[in-house]
Amino acid sequence: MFCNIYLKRIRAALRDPTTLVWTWVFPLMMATLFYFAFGSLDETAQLQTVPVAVVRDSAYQQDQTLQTALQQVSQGDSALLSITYVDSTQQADTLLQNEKVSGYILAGDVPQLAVSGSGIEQTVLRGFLDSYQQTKNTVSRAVAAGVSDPQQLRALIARQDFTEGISLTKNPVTEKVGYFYALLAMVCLYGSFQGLTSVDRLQANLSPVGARQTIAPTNRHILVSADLLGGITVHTACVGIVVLYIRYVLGVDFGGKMPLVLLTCLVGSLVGVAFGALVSVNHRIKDGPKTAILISVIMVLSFLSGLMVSGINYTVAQKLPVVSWLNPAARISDAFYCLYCYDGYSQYFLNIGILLAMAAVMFAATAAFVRRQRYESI
Amino acid sequence: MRVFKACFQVMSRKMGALAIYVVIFMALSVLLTDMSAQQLSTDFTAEKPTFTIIDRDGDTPITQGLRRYLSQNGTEVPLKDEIQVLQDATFYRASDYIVIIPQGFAASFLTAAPLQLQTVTTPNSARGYYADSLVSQYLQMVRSSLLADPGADPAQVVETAISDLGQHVQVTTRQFGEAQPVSESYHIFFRMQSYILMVMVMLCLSTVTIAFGRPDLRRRNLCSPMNAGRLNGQLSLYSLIISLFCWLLLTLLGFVVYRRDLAVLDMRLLGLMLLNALVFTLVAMAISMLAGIFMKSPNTQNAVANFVSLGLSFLGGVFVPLEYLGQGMLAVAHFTPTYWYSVALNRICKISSFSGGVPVEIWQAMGVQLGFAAALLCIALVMAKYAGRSERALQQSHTELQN
Amino acid sequence: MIIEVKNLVKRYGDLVALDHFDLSVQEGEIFGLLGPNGSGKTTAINCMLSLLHYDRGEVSLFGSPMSPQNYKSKQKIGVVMQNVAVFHELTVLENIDYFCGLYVADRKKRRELVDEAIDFVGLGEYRKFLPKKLSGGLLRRLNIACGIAHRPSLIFMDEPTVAVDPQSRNNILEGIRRLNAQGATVVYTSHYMEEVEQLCSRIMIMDRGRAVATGTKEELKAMIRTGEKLLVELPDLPAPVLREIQAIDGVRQVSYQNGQLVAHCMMGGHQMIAVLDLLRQRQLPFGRVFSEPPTLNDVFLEITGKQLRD
Repeated sequence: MFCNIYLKRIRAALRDPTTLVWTWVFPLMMATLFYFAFGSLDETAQLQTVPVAVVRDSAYQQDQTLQTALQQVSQGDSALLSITYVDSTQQADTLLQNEKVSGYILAGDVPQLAVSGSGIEQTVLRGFLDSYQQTKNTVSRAVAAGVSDPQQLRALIARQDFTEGISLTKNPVTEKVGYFYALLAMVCLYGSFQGLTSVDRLQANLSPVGARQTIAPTNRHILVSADLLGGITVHTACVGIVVLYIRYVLGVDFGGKMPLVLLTCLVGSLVGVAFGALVSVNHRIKDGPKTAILISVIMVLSFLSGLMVSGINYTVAQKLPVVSWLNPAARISDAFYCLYCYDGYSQYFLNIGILLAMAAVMFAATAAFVRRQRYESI
Repeated sequence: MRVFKACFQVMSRKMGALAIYVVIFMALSVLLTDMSAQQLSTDFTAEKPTFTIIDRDGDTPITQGLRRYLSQNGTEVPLKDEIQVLQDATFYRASDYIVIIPQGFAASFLTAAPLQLQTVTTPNSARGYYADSLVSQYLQMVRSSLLADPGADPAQVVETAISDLGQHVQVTTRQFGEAQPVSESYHIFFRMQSYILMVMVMLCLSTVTIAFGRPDLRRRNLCSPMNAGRLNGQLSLYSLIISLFCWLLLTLLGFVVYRRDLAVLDMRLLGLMLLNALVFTLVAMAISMLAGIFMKSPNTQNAVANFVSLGLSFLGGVFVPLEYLGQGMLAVAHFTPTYWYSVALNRICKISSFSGGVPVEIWQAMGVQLGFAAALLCIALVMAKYAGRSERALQQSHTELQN
Repeated sequence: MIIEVKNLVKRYGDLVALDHFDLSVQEGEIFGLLGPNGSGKTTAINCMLSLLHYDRGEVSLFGSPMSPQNYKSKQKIGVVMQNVAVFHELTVLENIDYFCGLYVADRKKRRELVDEAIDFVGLGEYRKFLPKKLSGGLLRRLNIACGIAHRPSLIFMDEPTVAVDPQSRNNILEGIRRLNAQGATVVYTSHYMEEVEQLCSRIMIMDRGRAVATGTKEELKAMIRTGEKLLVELPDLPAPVLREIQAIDGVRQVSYQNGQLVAHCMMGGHQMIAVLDLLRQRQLPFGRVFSEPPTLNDVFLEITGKQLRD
């Protein structure tokens, strides 16, 4: 009995092309798009050389120290500046106005910087000049104090490595994966369409098929659970395929814990199906608005979990932790993130636990309605 | 005008779904803007990187000074010394620069090989580099001062160092024009608008036009003496009105939410931005009409609407600014109308003077958008004419009858 | 009694859909529920099936009170809904098998039943077809097959012939007779009185949620005063003669239009001869003469004062 219902439900779901497009083809296309769109995302906000103009006026010609300093930072692989030398302030202004350079340097007792706005490049330029000036001051003070030993003076200028960069995560920090995780969270929640279909076909007041199923002598609990389980199975398979595609075709890293990644898909789908089922039980809302509600809510949840602008989930988690904890999309993408980033599993299983609790609450609420087999009107 | 009128009648029945879409996406546009905006000004203010100090060495004058010095040049993000918290912060770029002061750092500071501070930044991040240079600068100065005068009071030395380091070279800001710039929030609001416009117009239009695409209705319309051209003409007119309505709604929303930014905005700039959005509205309408042909049910409707709008938006620099797209991607982006919308918008926001008239690139970008709109509209109308007559379109009438 | 409904009241807000409705159906009957659209036929069936809450009354099927959990009774019931209730994604065979599977767990037995049902409705050639490929009439047949495949002993048929071509309709009506012959009790609703008259052994006429009359068709017709309807073709009929005909004892109502005299007569008299005698006496030549026995429509008209079909 159970198997019959379950298998028929799966077969029916697989023959429903529109839902398949929605839950399967659409995410595959989105993932591919992400792959191409974010190919070079991680290179952004990276320090490339800062374009700067230097006015070669008489002050500059005389300032040997500045010339040397500029030369040092504009050479080699790790050059900080790329310098365009110009002969007049006018030329420098033109370059600045056309945004060919971020600023220009005027030599003098204390060098000056001209910029046309604010930004990290301008700040780096000023930082360079500040440090140049301070070092120069230190040296002149030392000379004034009578230090003449070149060794000692060099020690004053010499850059000591005070810091050492380390990595906290064994997998590289990248913004890119966040988009894919949020996409997967959205796909999981699309399971709501399976939930919608299931409940629609179980409720006599929602569809003729529902009426026919209600008058059958099958135990209601078996009927409902077999049907929903069929929906969950199909959807988990859909999400699984998307995950495998993202992992093995697009090569996005999940931190290497594939079984747990698939567990996340299962639990995420569970929440999705439960959500759709819960929305569907209300017979007062028509099909159009039901779909609209599902789509819109999922869109907002996905947005808050970082689908469109990466990092939003973190901001929300910091400022409105409750919203973040109650957002299933954020929990799902966070679960993926935990697998990628953390060595421990406590946070991961906390997410899974919350998701399971959400699914349980929504299924229980749905059950309270679906259990009924008598209606006020059909 | 029967068809035109019928569109509005169908629409009034679908108000529930339409209202949900309109409200949600309008709210989303403000949210999106809010989340992506950063304050920007044309006067020079130093960029303030966010930093975190994890002090495992206990409070010493040197580390206290470090915190004070960094606070002058950045914003501290206090974090707990827990690995997951720190991982989260790096991953989501909450802190540009995390510096961990190891135990015994102060004790080793003046030895030949002081303990190194551990720093965590995104690789090659400019802000991280800047923060790192500040730290080195500070430590360098404090250390050399202490080495030069071993008897000095560390607190005093730190004090002097901070005030020395607080001396900045003079920075002049060159202004190249008189026009007020567009505030970043308003700019981003417009950037997001291409996504919002597309998805809103598409969902609102298709909710109604799906009814006209139903095979039995389509058959009936085809049998009527009204020619297909007029039918599609009236549908287009309806689409145009709804699209303009969406544009108007978003414009008003912008006026209300960003009224403060508007107060200082040059009206000519505002006019250009609105014009650009209006031109894009036509594109959105054409896209919607073309996409509508593929929408047979609420399910496909949403799939198509979301894929087209999200896809074009990611490609066209709506969510991720154009500068961040790779070269290859940028080449592909040229073939999307969203790209030209973003190009025109970015150029408008950079106008600092109208002395030379409106830059020709803006007109070009708008022209390309109009070209897209015209081409898509033609394709849509031709396809609507032929797709509707094909056998497949009429075949499914049985199921429709029974539903 | 296989169905026993007492004093059923169902309200939708202010609208009273069933107003103290009583019904009893015996085993082996084809029981017809006849009434115009909106008279409460479907509501009555849904209440009997426990799909709807009702405000008052009792329903017992097979001698035990009906409830949603009365799986024992449900096992023996088959329902053919007014709307086509099938999965659009499943084929004809899969649909019937699915719904039959809700009643019969045994796979082997089920296969036999499903084959039988397919033969019964004549869908043998369409086993592998998806519902959307079927024409309207075939779809109705599939709908019926899904309802009866498990061989129920009580079958509810809610307007199974709406929007069906004559050929499929005959096939369906014939099928219902066969089911009945095999021992099933059938409750059949329709607003086509001809069908009900042909098919049903007992009929209930419903209006506005009430049972207005119940009995065999002969009993129903005997309940009313209207007897035969007399039609006489004649080229000319002066008004005084019309009044004379009206005055004949047993004639209830006469009219003359387009060369045709129509006289509604009372039950049981010999008015035809009296009318024709009168016409002959007045030397009015007449052509063909028809006499129509009373129909259920006349019954309905007389009891409720309105036409069954508008």
